[in-house]
Amino acid sequence: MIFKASKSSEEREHERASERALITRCKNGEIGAFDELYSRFEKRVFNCAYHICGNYHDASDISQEAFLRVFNSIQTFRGDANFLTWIYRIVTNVFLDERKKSKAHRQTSLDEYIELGESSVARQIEDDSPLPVDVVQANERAEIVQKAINSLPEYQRIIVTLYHMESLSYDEIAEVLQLPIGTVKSRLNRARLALAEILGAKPELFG
Amino acid sequence: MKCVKAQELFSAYLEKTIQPPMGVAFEQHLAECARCKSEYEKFHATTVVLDELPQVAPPPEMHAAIMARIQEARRESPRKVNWLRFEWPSVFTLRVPSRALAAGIAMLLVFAMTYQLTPLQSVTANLFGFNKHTERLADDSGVAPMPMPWGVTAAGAKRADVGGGLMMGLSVNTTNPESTAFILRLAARDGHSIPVRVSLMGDDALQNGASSNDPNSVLFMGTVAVGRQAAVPVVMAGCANRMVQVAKVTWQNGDRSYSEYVFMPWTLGSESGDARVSIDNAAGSQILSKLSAEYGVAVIASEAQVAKSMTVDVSAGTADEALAAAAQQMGLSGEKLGSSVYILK
Repeated sequence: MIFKASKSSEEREHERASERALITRCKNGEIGAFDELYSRFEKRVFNCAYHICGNYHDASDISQEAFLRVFNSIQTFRGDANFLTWIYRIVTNVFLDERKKSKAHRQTSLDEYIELGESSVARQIEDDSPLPVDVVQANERAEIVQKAINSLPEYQRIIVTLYHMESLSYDEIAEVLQLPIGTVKSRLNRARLALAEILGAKPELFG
Repeated sequence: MKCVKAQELFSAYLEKTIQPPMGVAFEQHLAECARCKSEYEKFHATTVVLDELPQVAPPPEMHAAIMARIQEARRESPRKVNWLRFEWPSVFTLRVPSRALAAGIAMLLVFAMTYQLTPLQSVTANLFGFNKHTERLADDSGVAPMPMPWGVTAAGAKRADVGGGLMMGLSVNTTNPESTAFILRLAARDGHSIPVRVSLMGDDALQNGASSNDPNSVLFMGTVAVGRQAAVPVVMAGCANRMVQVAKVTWQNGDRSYSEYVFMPWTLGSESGDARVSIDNAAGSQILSKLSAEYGVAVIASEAQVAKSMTVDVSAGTADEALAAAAQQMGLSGEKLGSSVYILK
């Protein structure tokens, strides 16, 4: 066990060193390094974007904008900071910025949920465009859960996403959102209670 | 425990971070409250479902789209700027673009070199009228008709009133065995400035008692301003057939013009017990030249003293004794202005 733990620690250190070297190359304007950085973080960025915005197309737009911001501001990234939390902060900021723009222009996303009192219903709009294969094949359970997440307030769905889907710790989420750790914990608890109430009405989910 | 409080503790209990006394109270509440127990079971099941939510694959075209946008941003954005950060924490932060700073310094250096090495300096001087005045005001602040020899300092020296509103002194600074540097110091005594000309006397002109009119021999021509001292450097360089150099100082005060002669030896302070100066019925200039050379002294004398014919026979062990004896024989008095520097009155 001790040997395994030590090896794991070495592996983590190696990974951090490799990440630092990659960031340095990106700072030097090496486009190939940025391509490598994209490959390393694309799934995390896209999934985070998808779970917090709940829409496949919007997730793609948020991911693109987030990577563009990473490219433009990587010079400001401090070497001693946690790159993962830095990149998640960019993704959440892009999401929140887009939400502000949408509200300002009174636009609504195709899958947006409208809260009506204590319950929420999804706006049903027919979409003729072909959906990506992955989405079509996604199981019904995942869709139901995602729609329940979409019904949460913005900060709660971000915290649920970062904790459950992206496996960040409370400390890391507090760093991403620049919030006190106690606030993160209480908001996650409220989000889970809300989701339990929504999903509890669908016992087939827990079969 | 109330139901609201119990629900607040769901996450802490689930993650086993609840404090033991609170944990006991919580479990006791769940055992007694069927509603909260049911809520907690749904809560727990929900977290499991959330943890198991599958990952979603990004659209395949996203990679190409992002890289295209980055390439476009790279073309449009200016070149990377490295900032020099000068930080004074909590007060201000000053950021200076290092590339621009380096370029600015380089441009300044190039301009300075161009200015020094090309006629640009004289062009701009003429343009702005810097060369308007041909007469120069000489003073101790460094404006002098010729550059100071190496090692010469502009230390002050005693000055004597030579009449005509002018004070005159001579300081000596010998730093090189091949030459002796003198600094002729002039100052206006009264409340108005004095126009002065200092020129070197040639041997012939000196013997004939005439003034030197050779413009090349002029060391200084300008005005001694009130309250400022003119410092005229005179370098006596090594020369086999010339042991003494004579400078003539001419100045104007009112309608009258005045002249004073300064005899400067090549080798200063060469006191010799064997030196003897014996000249019969000769011009004062010849006698003073001989005294200056033999005893290594600098002597300031008026035009009348230089022109007058006299007989002198001096044999003394020191310069002081020699000058005192010569002055007595010439019917004059001598004053010592400094080491090896005398003025005849």
